[in-house]
Amino acid sequence: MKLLSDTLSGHRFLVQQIDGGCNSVRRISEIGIRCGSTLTVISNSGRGQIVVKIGNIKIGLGQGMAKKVLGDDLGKED
Amino acid sequence: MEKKIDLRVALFGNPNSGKTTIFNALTGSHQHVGNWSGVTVDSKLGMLKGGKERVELVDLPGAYSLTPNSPDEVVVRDALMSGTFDCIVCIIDANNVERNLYPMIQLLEFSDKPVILVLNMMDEVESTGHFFDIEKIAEALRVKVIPAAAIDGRGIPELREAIISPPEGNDFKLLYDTTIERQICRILRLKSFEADHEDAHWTALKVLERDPQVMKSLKSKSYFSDLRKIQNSSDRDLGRPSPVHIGEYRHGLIRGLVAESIKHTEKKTDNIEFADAFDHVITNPWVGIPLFIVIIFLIFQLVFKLGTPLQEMIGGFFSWSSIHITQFFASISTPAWLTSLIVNGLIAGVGGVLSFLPNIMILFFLMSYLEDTGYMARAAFVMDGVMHKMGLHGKSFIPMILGFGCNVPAIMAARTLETRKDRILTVLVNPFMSCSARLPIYVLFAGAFFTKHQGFIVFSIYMIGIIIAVFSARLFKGLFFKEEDIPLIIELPPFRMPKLVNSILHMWLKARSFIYKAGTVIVAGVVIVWFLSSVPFGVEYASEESFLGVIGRAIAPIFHPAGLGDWKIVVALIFGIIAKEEVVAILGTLLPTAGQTLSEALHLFFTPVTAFGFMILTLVYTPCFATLGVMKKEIGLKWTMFSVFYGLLLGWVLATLINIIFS
Repeated sequence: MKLLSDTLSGHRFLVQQIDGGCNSVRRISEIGIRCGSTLTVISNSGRGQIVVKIGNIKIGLGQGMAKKVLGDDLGKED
Repeated sequence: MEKKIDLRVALFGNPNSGKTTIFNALTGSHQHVGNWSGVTVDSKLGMLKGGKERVELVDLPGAYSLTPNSPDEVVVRDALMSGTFDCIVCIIDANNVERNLYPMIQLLEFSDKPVILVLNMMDEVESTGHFFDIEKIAEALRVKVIPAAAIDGRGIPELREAIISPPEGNDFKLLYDTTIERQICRILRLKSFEADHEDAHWTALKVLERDPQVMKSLKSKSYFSDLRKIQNSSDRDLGRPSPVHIGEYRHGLIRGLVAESIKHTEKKTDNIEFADAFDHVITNPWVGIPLFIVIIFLIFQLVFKLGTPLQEMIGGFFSWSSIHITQFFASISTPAWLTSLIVNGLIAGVGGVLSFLPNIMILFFLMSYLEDTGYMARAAFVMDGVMHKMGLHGKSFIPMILGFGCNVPAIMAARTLETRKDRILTVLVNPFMSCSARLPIYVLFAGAFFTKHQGFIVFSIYMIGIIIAVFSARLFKGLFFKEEDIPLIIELPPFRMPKLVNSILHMWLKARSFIYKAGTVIVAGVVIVWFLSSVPFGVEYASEESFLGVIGRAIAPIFHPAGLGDWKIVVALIFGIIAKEEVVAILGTLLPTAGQTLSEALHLFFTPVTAFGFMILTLVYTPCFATLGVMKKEIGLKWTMFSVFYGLLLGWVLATLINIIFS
């Protein structure tokens, strides 16, 4: 499995695991990122901040958060 | 006498789902709407327009969930659980049904009140080729469903109709899998648990969800340790934390419902890829941070380039009026004191403040326009790294930006932050984000002393405010708060072309409150200052022998090291604590002698260096009464007092250093 923070812009990512305490897992899933969801990385500056898109929703993850999301890098979108 | 209310209705839903737009359409109010989450942090009340029934509507803050993470979400759940509503309108952004339905499912689980589901922003959904099977949703959730596009008024008459004759109460029940239901039964069997709670089944579910508020309320109970044991055994049985499992279960239900009720057509969605590419660029800190600074710089340039000619026109009108009114009063032998009150007091003071109205209107128009595009949430995201370095949370950026308008709503917006530490820090540094009431001071002084570089000087004052906020946040964090940071998660709303009318309305509402303030608080302040400068009777107006002169002279030596030791300046500063607009009004009342403009008079009391020091002092020193009031409410008296003294001390030190170093 790969960290979301290491996934390049334009790649699709299948979320497999969300680390952290109960509260942070709840917060991230309530806003739209859950195990089993596939997202697209819109921007990854390489400094920990990352923007992802799930369906129509775009979510910005601040420093530290993208390191808690693990899953499979599905490569570039066609 | 209070009129009887026939119905009370709550509006509830995810942040940025259009609740306030619908609230405004139903009530005819003009509450501020913005294209980013966290604009509504407090409940707003209004009455339903039209019809015979008196229906009170309550616009609740947006919430992603009814398991609250922050105080604004606590407000929502407490309100919904209070049982005081006859009907609940759940507004969801139809673009993101899956996520938006989550808090609604939670609501249906504990409330038996009638629920109306509004699928808002249907125009956007349909333009991307998606359609809903409304009946299927209504049947599955057992609620009334109304498709709407609030921005164009679509669905509003139907919603009004549904509110007046609400549907039956809801009987939706969500049955969980056997593991969860078994653990709920174990909790219900604990001695006196059922007797202690009106809705014991729901409370038991919340225990398994480790709801922080519910767990806190149960801490004193004899069975608290048993609850902990059940939570752990539930986690073991499920192979993952129960809250995650329960959340997934609800999401599963929603996913199934959405899959069955959404229909697609082959319509192409053209602009999505462009928006993604644009986001890719502007959310990169190397581009995003300079872009943000350039945008703010351009805003202030426009405030000056467009505002100054208008400001000079209004100022000219008041000067012209004061000359003619003086002549007119002399011709009809009006008592000198009355002429003095009207010319020196009201026209010089209130007129002086009102002449800055164009600058303030332009600032609010531009800020509102920018907010509506959806850019602000991106700016907050891109500034996350900087905010963390400051010791603040990424989300603190939203209250900080709102602070440029007015610190009062800005401080309230700090409620969206999850930890008390982040809230206190954000509130404490917020007054350094220079509000629009301080803009007239900068415009006046920059115009008088730095004519060629007005825009740059004022921009630099705002930037110095930000730097002071950074410095203070780091200092406070190091001294008082050493807890670990919570990472930022923020929704980036879709880009939208702002409606001009929305920005104009926002600008007008701000202008109206500014004019109202000038006509009330500022008039009162000016009259008091005029009176205290005229007594004891017989003394020369605004002389050292006047009562105000005596008070001012007693305090003035404190500001002598800053080069601001004249008592009239000190009086303006003192009255600035009532409202920052008072500073310009009082200077206008006290400084100019007959035939002199305020700008000319300033040169007799300030040098360019002390003028700059004065601007910094007004930026930093004690915030206005309204800000102090809301501060006390949000973070308590102790921190408010701390803010008062810190601001005063820091302002004095900076103004003094500027005077010593540059004079």
